[in-house]
Amino acid sequence: MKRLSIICFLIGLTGLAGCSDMFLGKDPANTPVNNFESFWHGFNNYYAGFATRSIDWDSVYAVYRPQINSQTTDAELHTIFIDMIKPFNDPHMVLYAKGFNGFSSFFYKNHNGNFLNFRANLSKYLTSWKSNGAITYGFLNNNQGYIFIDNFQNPSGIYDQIDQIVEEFQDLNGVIIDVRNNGGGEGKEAYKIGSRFADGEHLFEYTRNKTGPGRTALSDFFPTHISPAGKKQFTKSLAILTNRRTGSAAEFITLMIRSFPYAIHVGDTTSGGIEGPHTFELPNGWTYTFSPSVGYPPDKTPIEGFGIVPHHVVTISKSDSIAGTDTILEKAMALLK
Amino acid sequence: MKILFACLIFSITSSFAQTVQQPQIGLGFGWSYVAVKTPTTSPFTYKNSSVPFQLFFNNDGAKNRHFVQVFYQASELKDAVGNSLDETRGGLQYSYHRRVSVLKNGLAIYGGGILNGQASIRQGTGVNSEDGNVFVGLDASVLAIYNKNKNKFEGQFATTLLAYTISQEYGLTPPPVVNDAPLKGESDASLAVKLGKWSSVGSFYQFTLRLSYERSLSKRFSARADYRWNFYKFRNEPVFGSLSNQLIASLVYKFKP
Repeated sequence: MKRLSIICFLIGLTGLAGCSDMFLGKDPANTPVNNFESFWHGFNNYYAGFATRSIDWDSVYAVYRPQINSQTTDAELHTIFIDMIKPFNDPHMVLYAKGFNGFSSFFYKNHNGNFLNFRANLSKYLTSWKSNGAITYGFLNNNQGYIFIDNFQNPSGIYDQIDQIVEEFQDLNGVIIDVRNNGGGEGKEAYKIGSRFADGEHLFEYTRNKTGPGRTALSDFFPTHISPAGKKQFTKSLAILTNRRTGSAAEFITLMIRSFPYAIHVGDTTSGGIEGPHTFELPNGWTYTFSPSVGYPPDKTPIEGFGIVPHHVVTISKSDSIAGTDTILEKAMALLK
Repeated sequence: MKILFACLIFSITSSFAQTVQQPQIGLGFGWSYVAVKTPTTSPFTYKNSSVPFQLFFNNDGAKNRHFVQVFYQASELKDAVGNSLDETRGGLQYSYHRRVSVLKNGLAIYGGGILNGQASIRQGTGVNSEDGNVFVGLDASVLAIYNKNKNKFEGQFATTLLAYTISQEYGLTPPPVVNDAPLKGESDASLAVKLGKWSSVGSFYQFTLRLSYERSLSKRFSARADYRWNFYKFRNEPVFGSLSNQLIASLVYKFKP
């Protein structure tokens, strides 16, 4: 009797352990139709970027849904998904499908690089320089400082070096911050850098979050401010350099620096994907990313899908590129004089 | 709410003033099976087993019972197609029960409440796929205890009446009120207070079933086995559901033989 009770008890426990479907719901069947519906509804419910793009998502459904049936292959489904997201031109919109290359809806190759061989630039323009991997800084020959930030994805301590750099730059006339080819990373690291160049609190961005299903459910514009931080700040002339590969957290710092009255923005338009992405999963295990928020500059003109247009638009021609002349950097140096 | 907490504190302090006390402390580990689902980001239930740890203190009086428990477990959860999610889960609870009646067969029935805090932090493999939920709930609880010779059996059922919950917003981002805060280095604890909101069963519910068996080994020590089934769900977007089963063996030390 005692043994029977123990066996019944253990069977009962096993039953409770295995009843996750009853409480959490069953996993969906991996069918082409389910995958398509999940993909379309994921965008419909959580993608905030419809606010700044004239894309009729209902028409996308009407065009592509009839092409899906139980016989649709993975390759066909992959092609259809790519066709659906191509028009978004969103750097944070990426499809990761097992067995296929990752696909981003933003095409860097369509744009001029506007960035020369970085090592060549260092020796040509800087009298001396140091690097910790993520941040390279040095002195230009006209009493200006130069900081190149490769990304904001390194461990946080790497970016703490900004305090030492600002200390070394105190006697200079101006500083150029170069975030060309910086694809972003952690916004708080961009903030850390930006705060060392702030002379007070400045509004630099508005954010709108997705607040419900449907394409128009967005929060009000919520302001974000930059304030001084660190032991010292550099608040003389500033320039920030960008190109089409300046994205996400690098666009974040671009807006911060632009909010200072003593700063200029030089180079090419940024990539146009400032708010961070999230990952979503489909019933077949494929994943895709996009942002459920949209960012705006203080004048509330759309950035997502368009990018931030510099105060001084400068491009590097093919002949300058061959000659090793960084016209964007030279323009910034001239403007800061 | 203040009156509720005042009553709770009064009942706790007055019950500790009882003359007959049987304080004991226990430490244990075991097996756990966890399943979680966030339909917003994945249609799959992520599940797996792991090793939970618990530390508890209980103090049984003639009519009152205090119980404090801390548990922790870290799991690598998998979905049906092999994607993984690292989940770290921890909990802290204090419960107070007062004896309501004793049946003829010696089964004692208690009624009481639980202050129950639990956090689940999850890190997936995708971009920005970190996620988490925290809640501190006030639960109504029914407890049955049966003592026979060196053996003690306990059965408990509890459900949350009111909870302070912290979760992401619909858009998977913190609400705008904290937009500046993480950038400026505001602490997680401070953020958590701003992020939280009061939730009742309409937006959050939780059920817990616990079965325990304890056998005295000596004057000072006893062995104890706990089975704890816990289910909770955040019903508002982003919806999150969690089901866990814990089977934990503990060694218990009695302060008074």
